Amino acid sequence: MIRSIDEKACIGCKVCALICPGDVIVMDKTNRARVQYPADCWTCFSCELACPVKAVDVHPFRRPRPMAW
Amino acid sequence: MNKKSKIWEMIKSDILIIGGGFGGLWAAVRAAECGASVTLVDKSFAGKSGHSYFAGGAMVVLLPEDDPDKALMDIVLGNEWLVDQDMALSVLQGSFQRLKDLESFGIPFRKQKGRYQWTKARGTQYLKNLWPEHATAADEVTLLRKIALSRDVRIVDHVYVYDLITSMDGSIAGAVGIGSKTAKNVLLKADSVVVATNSGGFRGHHLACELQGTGPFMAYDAGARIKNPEFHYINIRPAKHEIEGSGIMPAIGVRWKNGLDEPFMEKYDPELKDRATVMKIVVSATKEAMKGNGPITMDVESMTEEQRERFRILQVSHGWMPILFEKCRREEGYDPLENNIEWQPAYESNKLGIWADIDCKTHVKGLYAAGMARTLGVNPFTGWSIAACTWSGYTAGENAALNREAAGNRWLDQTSLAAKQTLFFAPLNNKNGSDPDNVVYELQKILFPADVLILMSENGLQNALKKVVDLRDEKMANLSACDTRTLIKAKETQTMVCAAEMTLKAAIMRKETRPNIFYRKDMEHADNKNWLKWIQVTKGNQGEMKFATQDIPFDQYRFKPNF
Repeated sequence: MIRSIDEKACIGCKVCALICPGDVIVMDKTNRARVQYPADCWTCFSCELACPVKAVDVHPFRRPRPMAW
Repeated sequence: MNKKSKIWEMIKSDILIIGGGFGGLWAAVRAAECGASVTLVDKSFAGKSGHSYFAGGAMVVLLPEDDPDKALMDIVLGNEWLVDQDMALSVLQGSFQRLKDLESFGIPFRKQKGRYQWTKARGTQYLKNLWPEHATAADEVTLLRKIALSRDVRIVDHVYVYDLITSMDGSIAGAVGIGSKTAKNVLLKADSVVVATNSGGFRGHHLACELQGTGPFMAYDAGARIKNPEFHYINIRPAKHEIEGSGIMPAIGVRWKNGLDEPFMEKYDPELKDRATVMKIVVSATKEAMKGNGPITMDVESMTEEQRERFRILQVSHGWMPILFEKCRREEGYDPLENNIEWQPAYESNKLGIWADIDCKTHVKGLYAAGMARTLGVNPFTGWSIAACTWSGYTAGENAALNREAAGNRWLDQTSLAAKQTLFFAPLNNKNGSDPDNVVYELQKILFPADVLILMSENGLQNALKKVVDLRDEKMANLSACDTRTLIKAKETQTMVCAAEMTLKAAIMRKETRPNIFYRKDMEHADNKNWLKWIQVTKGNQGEMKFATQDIPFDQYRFKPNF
């Protein structure tokens, strides 16, 4: 699940907010990317892969859901 | 109506395509090639949003030297005779040309000494999986987006389509949506519409299973038939994180093990063993766990360095997998390719889909179906989804474009459009209703336990159905939304509850077991006398689900069962 976006490193290119399949990231008033809906993260790493300044950090574990057993 | 925004954006084109995965992008590329003006709309960012982007990349391909009968037989047996053989043959026959198209676009496929390299598809004896060279499915759909744009396809990202719109004669005339980031109302008018979304699911454990199936259900609402509602795709995944490639690992010799350190698949499928179909693996692993023989692992600790290297080349060196592997090593203290970890069943997607003919036409005039939204068979062989989504997109795009004159100019049914909008926006006016996320969690708690959709039985299914109906009547009818985001979630929740009810009712109907695709622990044998049939659902005049069975037209098919 997405953990953080380093706001000091973010250059406001918007690419993470544009491509996030869960629309988890929004741009704030100062044009910095912000994690707005972390619970909806797909844990797909698209934002981390696309960030040109490596400001995004996604943890490999997904949010827990009811299991089969 | 949406009180916050009365601004309408109207987009007109010959063909509207809903969904930006393999199905939708191929439909767009082909429809544009055939001379139509094309709009493709995606809830998120076309080419990066759906299941396609996260697929492993393998594609079933029939090479020119291959025997189509052997390949078709694999598909027929893997689907336990319940597959549309004409469709399957058409997928195979078109596959090599689509591979050549992809190569001409700039995605070469893996070769050695001038010959294509392949692995065997999971659960099959003959079917070949071909692999893009130094690329993944993500690279392929990203490239297809560029190709579509270069052919003047208009791509509309971040618009959630919530319903189809009809003309006065009942034919499809476009769709209506809302900007997920802008809240803008969007009317998409077109002569023909291709629904190319996912088939939906229940936001399970798999990486790309956040998809919820609005596509098939808006087609159902418009009069299309839903086929194969009793089947579902439950995969098996590490309990805490994703690994793409559970189909490839057994193909290169990795084995499943239980908590007693025993390989167990030989007991359940002596012939294919660890390469058995995904349904057999999930059911077998669940039986082992229910006997107290858990946890279930993919035995990577016994892999040879050669096997590890092969898997790295095929999977781990691309896309998101290297980051995941590196973080597991660095932060969690294990390497998913060197240390055994627990695996669990993971609901991936519904196998229901819109019924469509060989031209991908539905029963509704002007409506075509492609991608996972169209029924493409019920056994998800490795590589089949990409091959069949590619075929259905290409076919739907071509036929929608070539037949567009027939649609002509039609008047929109404004009354129906207004009613659909009122229904969609209703949760905004309901301040004290149920939160969509909580309803979905309740639904997951009903559906995901092993004795509901994995080890199925009359009792388990009936109990789950009763709970789903209660959830539908108490909470789904009373959903609340405070903004566009939760409004979209409310619509998705309604879809998921509807899909749950449909899949449970259909699974109760099918009183038999077909081990590769459908497992009822209370009826462990196939009933070929009564159940060599498909189940279809249409929406009745009062909104009720009308279930019927359809005989499979074996007299027209290449292979006929001998029983």
